[in-house]
Amino acid sequence: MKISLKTVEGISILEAVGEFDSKNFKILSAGIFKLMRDGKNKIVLDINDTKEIEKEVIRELASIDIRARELSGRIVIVVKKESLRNEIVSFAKPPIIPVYSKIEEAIGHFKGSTANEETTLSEKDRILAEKDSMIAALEAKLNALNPKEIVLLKGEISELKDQNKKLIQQLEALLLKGREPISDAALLEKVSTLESAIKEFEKGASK
Amino acid sequence: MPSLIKSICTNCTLCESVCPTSSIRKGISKYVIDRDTCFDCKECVPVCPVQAIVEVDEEK
Repeated sequence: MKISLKTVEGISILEAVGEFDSKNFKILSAGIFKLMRDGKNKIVLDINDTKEIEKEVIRELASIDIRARELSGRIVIVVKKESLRNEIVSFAKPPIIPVYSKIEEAIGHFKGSTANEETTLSEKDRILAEKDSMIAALEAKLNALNPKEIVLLKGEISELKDQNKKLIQQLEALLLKGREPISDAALLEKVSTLESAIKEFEKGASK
Repeated sequence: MPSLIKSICTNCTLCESVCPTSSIRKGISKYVIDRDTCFDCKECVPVCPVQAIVEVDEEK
């Protein structure tokens, strides 16, 4: 097996020519690890020449892909043979490693993810800019206020707070008064009022 | 850890033939390893008849 490396738009394309099995996979994994060490974690693995792929190799590739994802990267495989693609896809549910038949499609996989990231970032930038302008406006308002005015306003606030306190105390006193038992004289007055009301009602009813 | 070919290299070309990334080429007096393209797979180490290929610590 011979390996060649080329870079297209920041994506490393690792092409393995010849049969590739679990015996010579260590060469390929060494290459992938070297790329990741160098910060190149978006890797397209082109194994078009391969006739068959061992389960052990797919397992290894999956574990390397997990490592690449931890570094915000990805490993994408390019295989022409459809049965091999199906084998990789059906290795795990949901499929863990993206597989394509053409290099262009594999590169497109990374471009798509980059476009999404850019959209999210631009949206966040817009929100940040809005917040920044709001902060700037508030700061301008604060700066426009005269320091003397601020002192006067603070004085008014403390006066209002005192008044508020007094009102609360008055309200509490009134509430307590309302709960006090009625005096005997007041009770007699209420009873006499009720009696006279009943008498008037009876007079009206007899008419 | 990258490998280095020592001056005891006999230019037998065995390492060049086994290198999967074609990173070993003929130098002035001995074969040399291109560290930029070498994957450190160490396929070349056991084939050298005079043990001229050794690992070197880059940080040192």
